[in-house]
Amino acid sequence: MKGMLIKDFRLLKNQGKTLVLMLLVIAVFMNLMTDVGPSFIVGYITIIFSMFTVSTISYDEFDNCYLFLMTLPVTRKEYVNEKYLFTLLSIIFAWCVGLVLGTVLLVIQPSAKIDAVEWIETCLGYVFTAWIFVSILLPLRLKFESEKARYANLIVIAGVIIAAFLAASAIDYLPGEIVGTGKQWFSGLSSAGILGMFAGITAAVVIISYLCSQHIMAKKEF
Amino acid sequence: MLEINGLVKHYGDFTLNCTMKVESGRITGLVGENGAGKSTTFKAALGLITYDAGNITLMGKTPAELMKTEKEKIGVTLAESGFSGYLKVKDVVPVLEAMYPAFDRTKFLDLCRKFGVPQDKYIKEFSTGMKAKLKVLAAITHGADFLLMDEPTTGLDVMAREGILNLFREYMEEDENRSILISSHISSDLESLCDDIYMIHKGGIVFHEDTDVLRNKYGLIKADEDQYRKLDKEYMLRVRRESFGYSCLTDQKQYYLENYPDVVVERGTLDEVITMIIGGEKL
Repeated sequence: MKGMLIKDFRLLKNQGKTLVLMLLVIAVFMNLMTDVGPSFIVGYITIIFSMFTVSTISYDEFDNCYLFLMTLPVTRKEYVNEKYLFTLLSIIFAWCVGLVLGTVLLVIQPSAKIDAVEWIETCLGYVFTAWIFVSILLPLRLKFESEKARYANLIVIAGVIIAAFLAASAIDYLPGEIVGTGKQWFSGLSSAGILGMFAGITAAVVIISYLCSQHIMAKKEF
Repeated sequence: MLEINGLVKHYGDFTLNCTMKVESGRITGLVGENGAGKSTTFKAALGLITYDAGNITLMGKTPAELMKTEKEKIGVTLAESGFSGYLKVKDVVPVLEAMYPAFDRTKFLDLCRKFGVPQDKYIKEFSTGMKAKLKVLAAITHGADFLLMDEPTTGLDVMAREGILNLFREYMEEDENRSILISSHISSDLESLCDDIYMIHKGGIVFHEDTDVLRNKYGLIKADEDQYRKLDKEYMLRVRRESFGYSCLTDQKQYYLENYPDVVVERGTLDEVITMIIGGEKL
C-alpha cells in the first residue's frame, strides 16, 4: 500500500500544485471582492480539492493503467484501502491549507470578532462534508468509467436533493408531538454535540461507502 | 511456474479455450495474431478477469489466491497498459522501491540510461518504444522468478528489440529456475529466444512445439503436381495449394530430404509454420 500511496502523492504533486495555487488565488479574490466570509473559503478549498483527490482514479485509468497496477504487489482490497486513506488524508491537507488562509483572512479583517472554538468547529464541519462527498464519489468512480461516473454523480446529487426535499416535506405529515420532541432534542444540543452527531454520520457514511467500494472492486473485471 | 488446463472464457462471439504450461527454467512463447486471445490468457492467469471454466495455477496458487508475496515474485508487462502517463520515471522509482523488497534501483536507473528512457519526462510524452522499454526494465529489476511479458517488444525498432531480448537472456542466465512467458506477433523474436512455442488462433491453441524440434525437424516441402503425387503423405501436417503446385508442412524434414532428393525441402521458420498451420489443410 505504501507504494500506491507514494504513486498517488506523486500524482498529486505533479498535477495538484496548480490546482492548489488556483484555489488559493480565487479564494483570496472572492474574499476581497465579494462578501463571502473566511469560513466559506475554508469549505471551498476543502471540498473542491476533495474532488481532485477522487480524480486520481482517472489518472489510474489513463492509458489503461488500472490493469497494470493490479499486476503489481497490490491486492484489490489494498487498492481500495489506499484510495480511502489517500483521499481522507489529502482532504485533511487541503483543509489545513484552507484553515490557515481562512484564519489569516479572519484575523486581518478589521471587524473580526474571533471565537476560536466556534471557528474551529465550523471549519471541522467542512472536513466532514468533504469526507461525505468523497464517500459518495469513490464507489461511483470505481464502479463506472469516467464518462458514466459523471452521469452517475449527477443522478446521485439529484437523488440526495429529492430525498432531502421529501424528508423536509414529510415533517409536516408527522404527528406534532414527535416533531416537537425532535426539535426540542436538536435545539438542546450544544455546538459540540451537533459536531459530534455530524462526525458520527460522517463515520457511518465513510464505512458504508468503503464496504460498497470493496464489494465493487472485488467484482471488477479488467 | 504456470499451468493452464482447459481455460474457457467467453467474450460475446469470442471464446478462449486454452491449455498450456510454462515450466521452470524455460522461456515459453505464445504467438498469434491480434485478437487471437493472447492478452486474455495473460489477464486470466493474473486474476484480472474471471473465467468460465478450467484451472489455472501460477506459482502454485490460483489467480484468486495470488497475494502480495507471490506478486512480488512476478514481473509483468501488458500490451496496452503501463504506469500512469502523468508520472515520470523519477516518480516510478520510489513506487517500485516501496512495492518490491528486492528492487535494484541502481540497475534500473543504469538500464534506463542505457536504453534512452528519460527520467524527467512525463510517461504520456514517451514514444511507444520508450514506454515498452520502461515496462520491461521495471519488470526485470525486482528479482522476479517469473516474467509474464505480453507483447513486450511492440513499438521497438530492431536494435532496441534485440537489446530487450538480450536482457531476457541475461535474466535467465542469472538463475536457472527462472521462467518467462512471452507473447508476440513478431515470430522471429520468439524463435530466437524461446525454448518452446505455443500458437494461438481464434482463441484456441493450435500448435505447440519445442523450438529445437521446430528448427531441426520441421520443414516446408515445395513440390509440383507430379512430385506431390509421389510423396509419402504420412508425415505431412498441412498442405496448401500454390501456383507452382503444393507447399507441405512436415515435422520429419530429414525423411523427405533423404528419400526425395529432387524435391525442395526448406527449413521451417516459425512464420512458415504459422502460415501453414492456419492456412493449410490437414490431410
